[in-house]
Amino acid sequence: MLQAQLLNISKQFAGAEAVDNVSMDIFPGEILAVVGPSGCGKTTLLQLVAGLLKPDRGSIQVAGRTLSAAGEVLVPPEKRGIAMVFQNYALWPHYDVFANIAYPLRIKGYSRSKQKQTVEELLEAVRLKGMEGRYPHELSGGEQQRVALARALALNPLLLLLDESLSNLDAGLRKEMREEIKRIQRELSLTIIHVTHDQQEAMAIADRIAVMNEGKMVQVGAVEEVYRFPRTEFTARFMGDSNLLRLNKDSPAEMKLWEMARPKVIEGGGQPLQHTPEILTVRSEDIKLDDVPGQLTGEIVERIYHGSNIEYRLKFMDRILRVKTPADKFFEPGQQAGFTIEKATRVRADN
Amino acid sequence: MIKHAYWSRLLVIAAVAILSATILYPLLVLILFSVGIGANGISVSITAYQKAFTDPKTLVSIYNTFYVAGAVSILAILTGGGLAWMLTRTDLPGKRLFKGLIFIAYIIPSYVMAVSWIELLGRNGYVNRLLCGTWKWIDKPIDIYNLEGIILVMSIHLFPLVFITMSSAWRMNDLSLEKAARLSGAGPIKTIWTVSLPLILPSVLSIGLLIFQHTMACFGVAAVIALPTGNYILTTRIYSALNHLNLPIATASSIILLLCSGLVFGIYSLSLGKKKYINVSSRSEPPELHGLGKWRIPAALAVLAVLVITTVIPLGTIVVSSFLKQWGMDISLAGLTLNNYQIIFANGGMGLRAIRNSIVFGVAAASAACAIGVAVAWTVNRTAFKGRQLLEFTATWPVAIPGTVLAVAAILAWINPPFKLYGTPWILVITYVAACLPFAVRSVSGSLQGIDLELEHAARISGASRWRVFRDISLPIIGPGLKNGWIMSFLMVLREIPISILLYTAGFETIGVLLFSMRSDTGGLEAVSAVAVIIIAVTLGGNLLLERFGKSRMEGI
Ligand SMILES: Nc1ncnc2c1ncn2[C@@H]1O[C@H](COP(=O)(O)OP(=O)(O)O)[C@@H](O)[C@H]1O
Ligand SMILES: [Mg+2]
Repeated sequence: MLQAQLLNISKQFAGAEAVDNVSMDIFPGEILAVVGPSGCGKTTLLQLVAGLLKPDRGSIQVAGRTLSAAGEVLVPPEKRGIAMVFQNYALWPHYDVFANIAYPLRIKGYSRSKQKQTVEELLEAVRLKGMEGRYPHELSGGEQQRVALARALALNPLLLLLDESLSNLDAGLRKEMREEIKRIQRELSLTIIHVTHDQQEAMAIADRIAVMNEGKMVQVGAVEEVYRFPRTEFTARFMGDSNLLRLNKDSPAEMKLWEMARPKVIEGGGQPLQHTPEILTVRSEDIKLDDVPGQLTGEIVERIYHGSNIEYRLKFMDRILRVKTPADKFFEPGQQAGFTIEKATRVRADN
Repeated sequence: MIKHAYWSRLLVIAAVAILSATILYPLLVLILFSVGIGANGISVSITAYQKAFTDPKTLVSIYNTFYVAGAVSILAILTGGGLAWMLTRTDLPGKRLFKGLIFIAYIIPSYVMAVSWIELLGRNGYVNRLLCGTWKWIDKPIDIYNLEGIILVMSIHLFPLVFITMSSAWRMNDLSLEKAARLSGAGPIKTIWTVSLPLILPSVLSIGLLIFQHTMACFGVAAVIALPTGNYILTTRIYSALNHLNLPIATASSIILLLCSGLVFGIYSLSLGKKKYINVSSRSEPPELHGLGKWRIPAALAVLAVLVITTVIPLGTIVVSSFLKQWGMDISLAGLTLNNYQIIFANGGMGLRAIRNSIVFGVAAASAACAIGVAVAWTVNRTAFKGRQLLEFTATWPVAIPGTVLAVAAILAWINPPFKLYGTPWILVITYVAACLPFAVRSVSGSLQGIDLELEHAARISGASRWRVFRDISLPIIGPGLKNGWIMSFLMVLREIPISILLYTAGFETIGVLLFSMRSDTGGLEAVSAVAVIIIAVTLGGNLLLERFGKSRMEGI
């Protein structure tokens, strides 16, 4: 059974499609990450699911119940059993931590002692014990985030929506919170839609990834599938450092590279792509460098350390390629290096 | 957010109805009346305007209005702007004291300021007695009963407003721009002239327009200082025309004043919209102060002198006079008494009644204005009703309508059946509400815009209905703004003169009426001073409350 299903959802703002004919299945107990550049419609999509916006077309079902359909919000947000953690946490400044977390319980009509007990459990779950009496402005960003999460969990939601919830945290805290969310998700077997513009974060947290661009759902699939077999030019660019090679008769460099990559193409799962013109994408770690001149030879023009690996800019005729090598492979800028393409995938061109 | 729930539709209808009754209907009647469409005729005519534009007194009053407003704008800008520069950008000593004095000048009502200057510079005023009698420096006493008297009092009353605006303008100016000018080789004077001044010029111009509009609308000061000697400005011309039942002149002059004031205020509003492009940075790095060097002490003394003359002496005069047995006698311990206060608070006296009435009207008008303010601000910021911007415009534009004009409109609108409210206290309350609405709507709208929509969404998601979201989340968060609007409205009613004078009925006198009529009776300056001291005390209390709310936890969200 599906936990949630979106069918042909569309939403316009002032004539522009913010969400454009999106269909998506969400399975029980999974974390689905929706990634895309900022402004692509992620927040709008979540608000549609939460019932804060009315879809122009399409329908939304959660746990077998139709919540929005045919341009109507059938079930208002307060009756949906969907929780959301907002990008800026949206903690109420005039309530302390306890009152913030207890608010959904208060509305459900829990007794004071029951509220107390539940809030205590939640605070334990997000590791904020003893902070009940603090006000939001007395908390750090990470703590505010945990309070917002606890408040969302207090609803015991059918579906938890996270809107860029980790984006405002610094790198260390982000990793910690990511693991925290995964732990809580496992413990409570929650179903989560996590929205982010950061593809690294999406890959780290999610079971499946949905790539969004300009309001459209471009590709949905398991994490490594989307990473290894991007089906469109956009996904390839967005999900990693890829070199896109076109069959371009006017550029000898491009032609040579394309011919070298073509035999290395591996087909991903799903339907083979049926289209021309064909674009090949080669990820930066799928190009091998050699100190001796090889079948093709380029010049190292730039070197960027990343600690665990090194990134090079390799000039081949008039093309610059991105190449990533393990940290022990060492080349000097100006040095000639032979290279081979090990793997490539075919993608559909964006128009 | 899009679907209009029935109660939000109800809210809009109520807001529209109240705005129509308090603002639109009276003004419509005023306009119609001025073109001859009144109770006894429907033929359009421009005789009222012909009369106004051929009446020498009215013509002179128009000229005088612009003369006074222009002079006050220039004086207030020079004083307020200069003080602002000295207090924000130089190492002048004694800044805290000076700011305190300016704050006192800020809260003294203009009418009270006028009375205190009469006590100083009237024919038998303290200063004139010193200069003319004791010291014999001058032969003839200084005369304050003229247009220059209005200019003096209004400049002193309004320069603190300039000071506040210009202080933040000086503070907002990006200091790095000045530093860049210095590094490019410009000296300190040249830097001020070529960089600093051009940068704040827009602020100067826009505050100048506001001062101009405020002065045009001033009534009480002009009535007490220049009216007795037959020097009219538009507001007092309207007042005296009404007193002589010369309705054509009164209505036509009201429309002329309304147009001038509206025009100036309109330009002012437009200038505010543009200003944000001018102030380059709002970072609050501690400003690098200009060293005054050997001028430090002389400058401080000069500032002190200006502030003592404009603030301390008038305030002191009022306080001392309020304890005098009889004004005009030499000041000595034996001549002091609490009698003036006892008379005010005497049971059954007009003083106590006026204070009680003002408080009742103030509470009623401020509360009503805040309730409507919430409805209007909510509709504008949280619903998709067509024409909601118009609603906000209607509620806020009375700020550009002089109280005198509002009062004339109210008289004409509510004098005839079926809506005969003239002669009842309701006409006062309704007109006060119209005058308070801008404060209320602005305060609520401001704080409502400050609430992140996510806060309300989060409550919806948590299971709260729209109404509960409003009650639990929005209302508490806009609370401080609402309180600000309420206090500002309340203080306005307490200090208000023209609406009170023109619309009160016997038995429903207000503090404004008390002040105004005591002056014209033989009630004497000592009794007026006692009332003035009470008003100043209440205003001070209100402003301290405002200050406290301003600094409360919720601000800055
Ligand atoms: N309330 C709104 N009114 C008008 N346009 C909006 C509104 N909300 C979002 N948009 C527009 O819709 C597009 C998608 O916005 P959003 O969903 O916030 O993107 P994301 O969350 O992916 O950054 C953007 O172009 C944005 O400008
Ligand atoms: Mg967003």
